[in-house]
Amino acid sequence: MSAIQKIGDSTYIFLDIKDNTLDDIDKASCSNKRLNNYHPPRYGLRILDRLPLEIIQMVLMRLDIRSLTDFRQVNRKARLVTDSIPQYRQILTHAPALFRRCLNIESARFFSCQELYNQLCTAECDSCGDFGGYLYLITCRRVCFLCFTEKVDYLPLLRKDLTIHFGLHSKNLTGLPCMRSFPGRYSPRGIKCQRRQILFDYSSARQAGVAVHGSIESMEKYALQMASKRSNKNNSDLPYGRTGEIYVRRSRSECPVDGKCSNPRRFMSIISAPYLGEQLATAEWGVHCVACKPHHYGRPLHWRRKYTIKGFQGHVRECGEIISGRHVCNQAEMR
Amino acid sequence: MSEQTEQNAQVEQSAPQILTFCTNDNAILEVERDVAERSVLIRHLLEDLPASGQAIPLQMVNEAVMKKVIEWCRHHQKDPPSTGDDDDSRRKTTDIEEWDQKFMQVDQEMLFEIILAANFLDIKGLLDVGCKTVANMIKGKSPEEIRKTFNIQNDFTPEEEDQIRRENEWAEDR
Repeated sequence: MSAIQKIGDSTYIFLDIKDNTLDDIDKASCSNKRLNNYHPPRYGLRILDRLPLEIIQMVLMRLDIRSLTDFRQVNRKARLVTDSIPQYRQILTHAPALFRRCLNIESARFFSCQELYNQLCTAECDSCGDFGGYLYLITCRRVCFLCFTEKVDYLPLLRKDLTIHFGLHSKNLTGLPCMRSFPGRYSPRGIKCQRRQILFDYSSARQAGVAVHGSIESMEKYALQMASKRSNKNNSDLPYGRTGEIYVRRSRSECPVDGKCSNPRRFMSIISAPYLGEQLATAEWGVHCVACKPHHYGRPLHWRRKYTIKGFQGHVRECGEIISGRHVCNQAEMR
Repeated sequence: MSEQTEQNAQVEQSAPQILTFCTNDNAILEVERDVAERSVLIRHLLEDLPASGQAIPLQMVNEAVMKKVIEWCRHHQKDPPSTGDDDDSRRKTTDIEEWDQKFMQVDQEMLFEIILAANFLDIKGLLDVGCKTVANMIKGKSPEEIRKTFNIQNDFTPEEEDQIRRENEWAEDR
């Protein structure tokens, strides 16, 4: 169990929990230093300078983060203008790693600074409404630990999976949100993944499949046909051995083993992200409930649930006041 | 917003349907009131000064640009009034509908004039399309390509350039 630090009487944070998300990727390997000395610009931005600053900022906010980063490298004035965008500065102040990581896994061209900022100003997990302490960086969705380790939406797929599940071929893949995994150890089990793999977003791929085939039914029918063709072919290629033993290969059209919380792929696009509340000076990273600490694995008492200060009040209302480290049911019906 | 529109509708019966504008190069342009009212500035102007029949001066806009703006307003006359929030543009922040794309196929000079006019006249939809168009001119380009597109000069020293590039890179040793 990781060391914890109590925050007030009823909540705590983990000090060094090793989930092995993008947060834990070799921190020493990337420079955190940003260039802070601003030399005065010698040249302007030509025709772009004709627009009032707030309009250039509007334009830049719409750019995907990859392009925004490239624009920032155009000249000193461009860097000055980019760094003057209030939302950009907010993100840099509270969570600079977000920019770096989405550039690193090459998903930065799939969402804009505006979208990233909107996600940071939303506390709720996109899937369940709990506080989502993380961002799923392929499509920039806020998510909680329980959802990204459980739900199918957050298991990025390999290219071959797209053909198997959604009948998509290479020609259908342009523009589909994806990422390139970074070598490292992922998931609480610390599984070493050295190969850089292209991983696609599940929901977008599914939507693309439905669009290509016209409907969910025809997509599934097509995928099934392809699967039976493949399995005929595969079986003729077999036997297929490993450790000297001969066995019949399981059809790949069946769902591959997910492993949920121990599946490294589920952690390769995940990074913790603060909630920028209404008072913009503050960034909340979320806290855990002291009373839920002794390994509860079901909601509403699951030990991995996180709360904002406001959300925690709701949790106490739902599960009871906390007296000497336990939820005490104040409702007779809870007994 | 809708109350205002209703009020306008009532006023309209007595007000003239055709408005005249005088651009900063002294051209006189006639525009249907419904079309001109895509501009929040003009709408408010008309509320404040009841119809006098005189040409309304537009000191920030020239004839060529105003004609383009009117063309856009006429095409989008039937659009629902903007809801004011950006939710609809949350996804695909740089998608532009086909007609607008064609409309925006003008030289850089004209494009930026249109954006400035849309900003001045407060026509949110047009400003939006303009910003998206400029964003698309930057999107997917390398810093060098962006410099070329807008004819921008680079004043970073090689050291600065190197450092900025490295801010976001993962030191990959292989």
